[in-house]
Amino acid sequence: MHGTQEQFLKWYDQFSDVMFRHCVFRLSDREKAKDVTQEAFIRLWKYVAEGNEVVNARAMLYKIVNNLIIDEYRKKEHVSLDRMREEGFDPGYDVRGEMESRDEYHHVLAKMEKLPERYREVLVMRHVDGLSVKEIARLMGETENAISVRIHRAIEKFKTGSKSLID
Amino acid sequence: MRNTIKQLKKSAREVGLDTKERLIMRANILRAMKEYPAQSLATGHIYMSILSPYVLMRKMRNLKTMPLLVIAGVLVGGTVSFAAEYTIPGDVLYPVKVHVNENVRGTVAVTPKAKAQWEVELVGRRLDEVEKLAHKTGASEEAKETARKNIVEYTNRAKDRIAKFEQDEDTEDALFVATKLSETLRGHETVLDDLVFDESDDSGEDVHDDMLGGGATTTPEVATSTSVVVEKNKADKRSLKNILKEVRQARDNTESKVTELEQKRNTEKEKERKTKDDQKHRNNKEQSSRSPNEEIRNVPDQNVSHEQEVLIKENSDKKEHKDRQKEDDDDE
Repeated sequence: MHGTQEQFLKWYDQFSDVMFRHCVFRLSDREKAKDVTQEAFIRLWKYVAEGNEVVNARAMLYKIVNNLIIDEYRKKEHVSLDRMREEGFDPGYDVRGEMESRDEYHHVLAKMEKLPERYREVLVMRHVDGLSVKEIARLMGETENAISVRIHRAIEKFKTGSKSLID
Repeated sequence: MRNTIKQLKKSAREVGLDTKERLIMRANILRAMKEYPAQSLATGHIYMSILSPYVLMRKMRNLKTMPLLVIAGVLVGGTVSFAAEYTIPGDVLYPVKVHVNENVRGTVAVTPKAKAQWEVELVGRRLDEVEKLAHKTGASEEAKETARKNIVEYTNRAKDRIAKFEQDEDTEDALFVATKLSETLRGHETVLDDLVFDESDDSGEDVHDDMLGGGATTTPEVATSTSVVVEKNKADKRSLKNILKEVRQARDNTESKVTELEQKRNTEKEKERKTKDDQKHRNNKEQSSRSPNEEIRNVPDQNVSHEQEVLIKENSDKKEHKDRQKEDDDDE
């Protein structure tokens, strides 16, 4: 068992970016995404430290992250990203991209924000995290068919609200 | 539809934690791991360290100052050595971490290169301790001074390893270890920099002003205790700045060493390549050139008179004739 700490830190190295990216697109807020990611790993460690076995660290992290995101929504009144930007708030674009990518990124986040949460979750898992329908179904404890339909509807809703992206 | 999803995926590729953010998050998580160590015997799960209790006891026989309680704890499945892993200067079990855990782990490194890599890893562990100390409220001055001295000592030990490789003319290994050391120092310097300049330097004064309300409405007791807090914060920041200064200096020196070793390696490679080329050229020349005797025969001696030249030529012609006859005789 001596490798528990080392294994845990390996999970951090392996999944921190994935979880962070997931949180950014679910919360449309980089700083909150960092907080949630960090808290998720700390909670996972506490779970391990209590003597529980972790068979699938990624699945556990998704569960914890999802719960934390729901808490974030409930915590305070949700303020739209567009309104926040009007008031000078910057959702914190990762500095890697060019100006064009930055605008695109903000646009995508704004559109994601308009999606109902149940559609946003599956859309992010499918097209941001790159998970298969099967993997998503297993993680969420639902049938592949149900997930497939939800993803399809999510894309339709996202597309409907995204005409200006193509223009 | 395709464009939309394509844009979503493209945006996703642009998002990630940068190195600084990742390191800071890691440091915070490590701190939480320390606050919530894994359970021991109470639930029947024993998280053993790599050390068996018997190895620990052999090592600890030499530690005269080790408290009996700790020794007794070692017998209970190595839990103490595990708990010691997350300690920092000032903690009771810190000596176990440094003098027991690390000594035993160090024995696993057999080759000079592996030993040098372990020394670099130890520098990283000392720097982790500094970061944890920075977050700890009420850390003693003694603990901070120990942390500062550790950085200097362990960095020097790693540098000694590099010097030994240089002495043995092993530029590759010297460069490898120097590069690893420089990366370790740079990574932690970034985190420490952030910790030192996290709040403005006069944040304590802001607190002071807030509490005083800018007027005479606050009691003297509150003003005094706030001043104490402000002074404590300033002292903490000063200690951290001193440590950061040591780390920066060590990183500067190491990066200079890396540059020097890179140049040395390039020079050595160039020399080796030139030597090979010269050798190749010499070999080619020997194969294609005439014999040395022919060379001498055909070069007129500037100091010899015309008559002497004729005599030399006659003698050499005679010798050539004799050699040819001998060859013919041999053939027969």
